[in-house]
This record gives sequence, C-alpha cells and structure tokens, in this order.
Amino acid sequence: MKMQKIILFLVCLTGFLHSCYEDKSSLNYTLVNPINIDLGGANTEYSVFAYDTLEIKPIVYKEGVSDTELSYRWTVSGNYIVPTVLDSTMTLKVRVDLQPQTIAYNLLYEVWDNTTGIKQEQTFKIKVETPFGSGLVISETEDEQTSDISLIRAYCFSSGFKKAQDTTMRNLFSLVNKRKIAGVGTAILSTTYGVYGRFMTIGTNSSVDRIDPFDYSYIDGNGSSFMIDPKNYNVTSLGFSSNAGCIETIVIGGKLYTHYYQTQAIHTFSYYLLTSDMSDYRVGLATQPEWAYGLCFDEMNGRFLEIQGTKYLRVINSKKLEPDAAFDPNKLQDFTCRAMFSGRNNITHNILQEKDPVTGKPKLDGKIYCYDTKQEYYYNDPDLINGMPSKIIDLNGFPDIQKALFFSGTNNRDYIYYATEDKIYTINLIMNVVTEDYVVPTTESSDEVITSMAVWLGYGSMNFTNNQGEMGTTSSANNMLVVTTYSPSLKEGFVRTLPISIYTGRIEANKDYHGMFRGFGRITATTSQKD
Amino acid sequence: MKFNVFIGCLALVSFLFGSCEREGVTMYEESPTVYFGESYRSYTFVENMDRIKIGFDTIKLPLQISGSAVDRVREVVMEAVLDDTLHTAEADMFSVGKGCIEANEYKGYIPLRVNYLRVLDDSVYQIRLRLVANKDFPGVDLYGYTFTVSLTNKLTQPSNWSRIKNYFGPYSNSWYRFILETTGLTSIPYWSTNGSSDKNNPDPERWTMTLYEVKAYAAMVKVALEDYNRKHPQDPLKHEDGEEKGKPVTMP
Repeated sequence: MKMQKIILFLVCLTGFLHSCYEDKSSLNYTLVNPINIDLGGANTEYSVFAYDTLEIKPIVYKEGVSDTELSYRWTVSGNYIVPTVLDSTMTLKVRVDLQPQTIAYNLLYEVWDNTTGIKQEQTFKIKVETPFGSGLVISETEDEQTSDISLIRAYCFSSGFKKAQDTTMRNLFSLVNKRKIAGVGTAILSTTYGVYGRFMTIGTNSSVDRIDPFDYSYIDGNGSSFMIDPKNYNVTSLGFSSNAGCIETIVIGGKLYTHYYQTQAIHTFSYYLLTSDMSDYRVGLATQPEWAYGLCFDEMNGRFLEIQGTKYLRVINSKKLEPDAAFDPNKLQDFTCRAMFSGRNNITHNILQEKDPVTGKPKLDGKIYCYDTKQEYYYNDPDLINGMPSKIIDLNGFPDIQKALFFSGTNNRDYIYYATEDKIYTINLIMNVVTEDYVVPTTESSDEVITSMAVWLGYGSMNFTNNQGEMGTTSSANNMLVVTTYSPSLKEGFVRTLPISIYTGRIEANKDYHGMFRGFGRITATTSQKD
Repeated sequence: MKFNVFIGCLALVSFLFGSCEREGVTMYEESPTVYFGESYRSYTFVENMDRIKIGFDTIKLPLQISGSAVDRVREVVMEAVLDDTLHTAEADMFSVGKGCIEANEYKGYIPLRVNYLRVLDDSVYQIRLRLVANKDFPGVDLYGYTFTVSLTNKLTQPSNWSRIKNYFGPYSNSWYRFILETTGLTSIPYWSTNGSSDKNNPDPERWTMTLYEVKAYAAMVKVALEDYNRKHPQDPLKHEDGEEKGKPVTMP
C-alpha cells in the first residue's frame, strides 16, 4: 500500500514538473547580420531616355560574409511587360530597350546571402522617356510626291525647354522606317491616351500611316489600320476627343471613321459612322471640342451632324429649333464649310461660304459668314442643345476676307484670326472690328506665303508685352498662333510662331517675341506632340 | 506488490510518452475532374470552304478542369455516344482523337476530326460525345454535359447567334447568307467583348472577333441592306426561311 502511494506520488510529481519545464528551444538562435543596400542617399526614382544607359551603383555588404557569397538580380516589370531580368551583378549598367511610357516601370533589386538563403530587396521606379518628346510635329514634302515627319522641340512648343535648347529633328519617319510616306500629307494627329492608346496618324491624299509617337516605330497603315479595309485612303481630316467618346476620327472619301481609344482589345478604325436616320452624307470638315460631342459639316446635304462617339452621326432635329433660331442647321445647302473651331463660352465657329452648286467649291466672291453653334457637355445634354444654332456673324465687310485662306480662334477669347497669303487679320467679335496684325516678312524671300495657320494647343511657353510694356511669360497653349509658310524661290518651308496678347487678344506687335524655324520642305500639316 | 510497481512504472512511461505523440495533418485528396467548356458546337463546311478540298477539318473542343494544375501533361479521353438517339452521324464522318491538359494549365482541347462527305451538302448530322474517365482524370462530366457537334455543309444557324443577334436581328439562312456575302466573311467568330484576349472567352482560338469588329460589320451590313431596299422599294429583303419567313429583314 505504501509502495502504491509512492508510485502515485511519483506520477503526480512528474505531472507537476511538466508544467515547470521552461521551453527554451525557441531561444536557441544567433543573430544574423543584415544585408545592407546603401544607395548613398540617391533617389530610388530614375528617369531615362529609351535606348539610353541606365546605371545604378548601390553599395551592398553584409558583415561576416564576403561579397562572393552574395548574389544579385535586377528585374524590371510593370506597364504590362513580362518581368525581365536585366542584370545579375551588384551594380546595374544596362541599355534601356523598354518602350517609353507615361507610367514608370518597377525595378526590383534582390540580394541573396548564399550562406543562409536570406534575401534583401530594394525597389526603384524607372520612368522611360521618349528621346523625341513634346513639340511641334510637321509633315513636309520636298518632291510633292512623298512626305516625311519632322519634330521641333523648342521653348514655345515643349515643356521645360530653354530657348538655347531649341532643336529640330528632321525626317524622323524615314530615319526610323527607312522609307518616305507615300503621298503629300493632308492631316496629321498625335495622340497619347493611357498605356495602349498611343498613335501618330499621318494622312495623305492616298495613304494612311500610323506610328508610335514615342519612338516613331511603325504600327500599321492603309487597310491594316481599319477593321474593314475602305480601300481608299484620301484623308481630308483628323480629330481626337479625349473626353466626349474618347475617339479619334478620320475622314476618308467623305465618310467619318472612328478609332475607340479606351480599350486594349483592338485599336483600328471601325466602319464609318452611319447617320441616325440612315441618310447618306459626305463630310468635309469636323471639329472635336474638349467636352462636347464633335460636329461635322455634311457637304452632300448642307447640314451639321453631331458625332455621337462611336455610335452614329446624329441628324439635328429641326423641329426642336427655337422660334427665333438664327438658322436651321439642316438648311445650309448653299454653303461649303471652310473652317470649324471652338470659340469662347461653349461656341463652335463654323466658317461657311456660298458655293458653286456644280463644283461644290466656294463661289467666286461668295459671301462668307461665321455660323455659330452651341456646345453642350456630352453627358449633360438631354435637350440635345449641342450643335443647335447660336448666331450668324457676317464677315463680308472685313478687309481681304475674299482672299482668306485660313481661319482659327481660341476657346478663351472672342477673337477670330484669318490669314491671306501674306497677312493675318484679327477680328474682335465683341467690338466687331478687325485689325491687320501681321504681314509675312520679306527678309528671307519676297515670295514667302502662308500655307497653314492654327492656334497652338501643345506645351511650351511664350513671351509677350505685358501691361507695363515689359516682357511677360506665359503658357503658349491657346495663346499662340503657329503659322507655316513656304518660299517657292528658296524651296524652303518656315514655321513662324506669333504670340497672342493675353490683354488685347491681338497678335503680339513686338517682333522680338515672334519665333521662326526654317530649313523645311513645304509644310502641309502640323500637330502638337505631348508626352 | 511487484505487480503494482510494474503497473505504476508502465503508467508513468505511458504518461511520459503520451506527450511525444506526433500528430499528423490530414491532407485533402482531390479528385481531378475534366469537363467540356461548352456543350454544343455547330460546324459547317460552308464557313470553311478550303477544307472541302482537303476533305476534312479538325475541331478543337474546349476542355476545363476542376482541381489543381499539375506539372505534367494529363491525357483526356473522349468517345462517341453511339447508343444516344440524338447521335445521327455515320462512322466515316468523324474520328475522335485524344486530348490533353498541358502542364500547369487549367484549360485544354480535345481534337475531333470531321470528314467532308457529299451527303452533308443538304443534311445535318449530329455527333454526340462524352468524356471517359482515366487515371489522369477519374472524374468527368462535372456538369453532366454530353457534347453535341452538328455537322453539315448546309448553311445553319451558328452556335454564337445568340451573341450577335443584338446587332444583326432574327436569324434565317437567307439573311445569314446575305451577311456573309456582304462582309466577305465565312463566319462571325464573336463570343465576348475583347475577342481572343477576353478572359470569358471559352475558345480564344475560335472566337477571335471583338465587339468593336462586330459593330463595324453590322454597320457595313446595315448599309448594304438599306442599299438593297432602296433599289427594291416594292420588294424589300425578306427572310426566306425560319421563324421570320416572309417578314422583311430588320436590324436593331
């Protein structure tokens, strides 16, 4: 019995001692020295031009471990690329063959201690930029058969540029693609929208070509730029609406085709838009305001049509016109459209001229008017105000109006600019007065004539005379006219920049603030290139 | 007494060893299952004219699995359901191949060779198929599908018409022929918005067309239909067969 008690006691004692046991197994470790990645205070965000060399020199060490026991890996990812190992040495020095993108790539730097398998990571952001960058893109021809694309990067066209850095990169299309563009450029448009939507479309009287504006590499052209080959590539107009419908438009043979940007599935032009009543049409010009659906002029039927994104061309309902409407947008059969551009206070200026009913061309001495139509935000237009008439401005009393070749205006001023072969006039729409503001100088040649005129909508800065008579500086977007000229005797094309006074709306009188770029062929189309 | 000591020691030893027991983790054992990604496919040589000269074509029937992807190729076996009353095809009209699920994949294909015969010119035959369990896939027919392939050289309603009818309207053979003649296409291979790159697409190799392309072709056909009706004001284009027979063709 006594023995049984002893045994029972021993059992209980063992049980109690179990709970007294301190488990020190988890404390059986030794501290491991960390892997140190020392960037020397350098930034982890890098910016590099495509095809340039990226060099990052971190100092990596681990106390007690020799460098030979460390291994490295630099992996780049992001922007939908397959993650790619760039290097496996301590420092990175590599040519960046990545596509330029608006969003930075991710660069992961991994260091392993081979003796323990422990890894240390460091991440970097790598912004790959185009070597070509923002500026004025021009389509020029030297033989009237073929064209090429050149880029002017300058203080007035590019962000962060100083005048001393102004540079012209000529013939980039043929430089990269080893051929010229077949045809004389009639329209050019460079657009960047997100990662996938990046196209420079170049239209001629017989071809369509699309290139990547970041590196000028070829994308596609002619039939392959379309879902269904139109088999006719006579381009008369290009446009882009980033907000209302997110579409690029191209007019070929009078039909308006759209390319929907907000997708990664397919980036070709669709079949041409049909009208809402299935009536036929022949578009001459089109315009794309910033927030309203675009408008185009149907030369076949003498009417305005609204570009409803990728859906259709809406026929404006004449029955919904106000009783005192200035005009009926469906009854303009006597006119041809010379120009369309946005004005101040949500107005589109449409320059119409009486036409020859046989040729459809402007009639000799045909009356010229500005038919203003209303713009309304595309998402807030249940009453279908967009495209409805606002007023008619009679331009016929203004000097040289019958000689006018080009018309333009800004969406922040009540001014219209028109250019003849050698002069530019400014119409003050509030005062209804016109001033001759610019004459093409004869300093380079006596036969230099204007070949195009447009308000600048890209990046850059400009100088002008402020209200103290001193030099002021402001953004050139919407504040500068870009005028191209050509001298037949010199066989040389020019780009001239004319600041618009932010006080008077007139062309800057101080010629020191005018700019000039020369050495081109005949310039036939221009566009702004943004980053 | 000795016996008591022995019992006590035994209890003590058992108690001490009790804490040494290693508890195993019960692992989930899955049963890999393969099943058809669709249940029906129509095949017409009308849409594959070049194949008539060759004499046959190979259809890839989409497969999907439940369970995990594994790091080896797994075989899938299929057979014709000859005793099915809906199975009407003759033996020389088709032959069944062996399919597979590639390593680390969740989807695959199984080939079905279909042969062109003159009798297909005016008749439609059906092939009923089912998957057969094997060592790689003990489970089959997750949804109980028996795959049906309709085979013909006669124009028939394509299996994706429900996907495109919002753009082309009601089906008839005559209308479908008008669409194919207008577009120059042999089929309208649309299933989901982004075409081959659409994650909801059960067969990216077959259903390659995007929604944007379908809309483009619908616009092209609409212009052709308007043009036809303008030229035939007293006799607009009508459906010549099917449920809409005799009614004018309309598009949404």
